[in-house]
Amino acid sequence: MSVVLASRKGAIARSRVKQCVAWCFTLLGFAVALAVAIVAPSPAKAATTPYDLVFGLVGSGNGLYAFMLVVLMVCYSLTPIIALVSGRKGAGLERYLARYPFRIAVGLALCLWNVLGDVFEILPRPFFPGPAQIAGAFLEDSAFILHNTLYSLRLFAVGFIVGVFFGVSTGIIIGWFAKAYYWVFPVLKITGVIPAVAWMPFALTSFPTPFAAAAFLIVICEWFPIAFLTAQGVRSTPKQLYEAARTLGAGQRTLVFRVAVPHALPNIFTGISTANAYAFATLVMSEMMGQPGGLGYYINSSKVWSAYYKVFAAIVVMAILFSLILKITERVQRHALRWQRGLIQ
Amino acid sequence: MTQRTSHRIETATDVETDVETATEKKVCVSLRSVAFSYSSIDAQPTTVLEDFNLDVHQGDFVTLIGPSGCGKTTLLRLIAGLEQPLVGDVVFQGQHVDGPNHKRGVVFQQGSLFPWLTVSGNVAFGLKSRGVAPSERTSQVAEILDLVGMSAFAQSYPHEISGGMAQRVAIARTLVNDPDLVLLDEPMGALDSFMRQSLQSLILQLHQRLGMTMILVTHDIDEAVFMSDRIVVMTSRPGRIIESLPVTLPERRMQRDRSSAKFFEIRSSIMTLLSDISA
Ligand SMILES: Nc1ncnc2c1ncn2[C@@H]1O[C@H](COP(=O)(O)OP(=O)(O)OP(=O)(O)O)[C@@H](O)[C@H]1O
Ligand SMILES: [Mg+2]
Repeated sequence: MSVVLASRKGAIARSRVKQCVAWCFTLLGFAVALAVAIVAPSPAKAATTPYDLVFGLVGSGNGLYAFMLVVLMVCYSLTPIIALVSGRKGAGLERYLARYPFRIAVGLALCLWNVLGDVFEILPRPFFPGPAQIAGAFLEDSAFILHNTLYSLRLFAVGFIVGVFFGVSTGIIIGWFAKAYYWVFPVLKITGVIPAVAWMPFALTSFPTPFAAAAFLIVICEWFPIAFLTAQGVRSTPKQLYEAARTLGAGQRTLVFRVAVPHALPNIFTGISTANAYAFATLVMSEMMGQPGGLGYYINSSKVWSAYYKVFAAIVVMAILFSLILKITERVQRHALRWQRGLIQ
Repeated sequence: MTQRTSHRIETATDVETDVETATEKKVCVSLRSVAFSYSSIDAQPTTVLEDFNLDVHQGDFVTLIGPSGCGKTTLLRLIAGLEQPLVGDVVFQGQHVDGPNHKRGVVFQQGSLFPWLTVSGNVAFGLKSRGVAPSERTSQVAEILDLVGMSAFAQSYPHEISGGMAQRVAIARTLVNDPDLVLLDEPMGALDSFMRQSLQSLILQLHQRLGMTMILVTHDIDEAVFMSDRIVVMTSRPGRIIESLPVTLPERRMQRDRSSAKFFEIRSSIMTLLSDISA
């Protein structure tokens, strides 16, 4: 009995040690990068605008870069610290531990980039700045970048909400009414393959503001794939489910909204994620062509001054912003389709 | 729980026999010279039913048996209101049937549960479509799930439960609507024999306890004799009734002895009828 207990204790202790090692390895790459950034600071501009008060403690692009590394290390320490404190070993921790090789690689890659781009400036300039210079862009232009990010976000939000609404509702109408399907579906099929930006000249002339024009293009992006897939989902609802519902006393509305729409829901989400990819491309492209703001606009106006480090800064913001949007949609989808878990792999 | 149930069943049967002796039973559903054929685009329409007449009395348990393709499912669909007869009339409680209604419940062979709803969501579906208040709904769903022994799985999704359990849920989903007539189209067709027997007893229990009319389609002669008040034997092309046979066994239905001589006699007479058809 006590032997078993002792060996179990031993196993627990060993797994503790393994966890700590994995944690250290996770942080190792970033720690190296941080050390390099501190020991060999790159010559970057100091803060100049009042908005830099926020970043007062980091001062320079190199400082902000180092600060960001520290933030990353703290974030990556949360999972193991919580696990150690609570003493529970969840699936989250397992996944965390499995990822440390990748995170070492990320840290070392950042470090290498920093050395080549910022410290020795070996990479062709000004096209390939290092991470510290890119961080510098956030200090120089913090307010302007924030403004443009919000502009992009607003544009996307308007286009997304309107597009999903119209996409789902036309999809339901086309899927439900055979007449509507006959007349509208072929049109949808043809217009659906046209890249939305092709409508840009038309949009710019027929909408009162550039914002409305770009929003219209995003609506187009969302509308067609979602309508297409929703219609398919509604039409592929098994007859038996309708019949079961009717013998349970369901009326027309119930058949549409509580049988056809739930059946089409997986399709609707596929439509949304397909459409989002188009929408991101369209968003940036239309911002680069005649918008008074937005990340695409910021890229364009930075390019004119050959400020490529600012272009990269905008790219970083896009990567974070769009990943975040995808992550949120995925979460919503996972929750809405939880009934499928285990049904489809 | 079991004791209480069995007690209730006895009282229900007593009442039923009292009524039976006092007055002639009312007709629940009747088909009057019904003809039906499926129209198809490429082939000429095949006549499924022709000059079909059938009366089913209130509270009866009637079984339809016959060769594959003779129109049993079609018959149930006509009664349910999912199809309209070409000629003739389907009358339910004195009224012409012109569409589905929750008072005529259907239990399909399999796969008719809504995969996106939990077990209790599926059972609540009918109540919700008819606008029953949420609190009322919850208590009725809980009660019926308890009756079919599925309370423990109320929050499971259909793909997480077995075929037999799914049929219990399908039955509960129909019964929660308090139907006057329940149509069962081979509800046990896809189950193994052990599951079959437990579901047979469950259906009989529910029939006696709740006292509605039931029409069952099956391929299993044993099942037909074990469960029914009356067995209707059909033939195909076009579907007609060749025999309507009351099951007169001494025991009360729940206790029917599948190995008794009388049981065997009825069983073999149906067997003969069916083999004559296929000959
Ligand atoms: N939707 C349909 N369209 C055309 N013909 C059909 C359709 N459904 C059934 N039939 C035909 O109608 C006839 C009767 O079918 P039905 O399903 O009622 O038979 P059944 O007695 O239930 O058979 P089984 O015992 O195999 O279930 C069959 O010959 C079949 O081919
Ligand atoms: Mg059938």
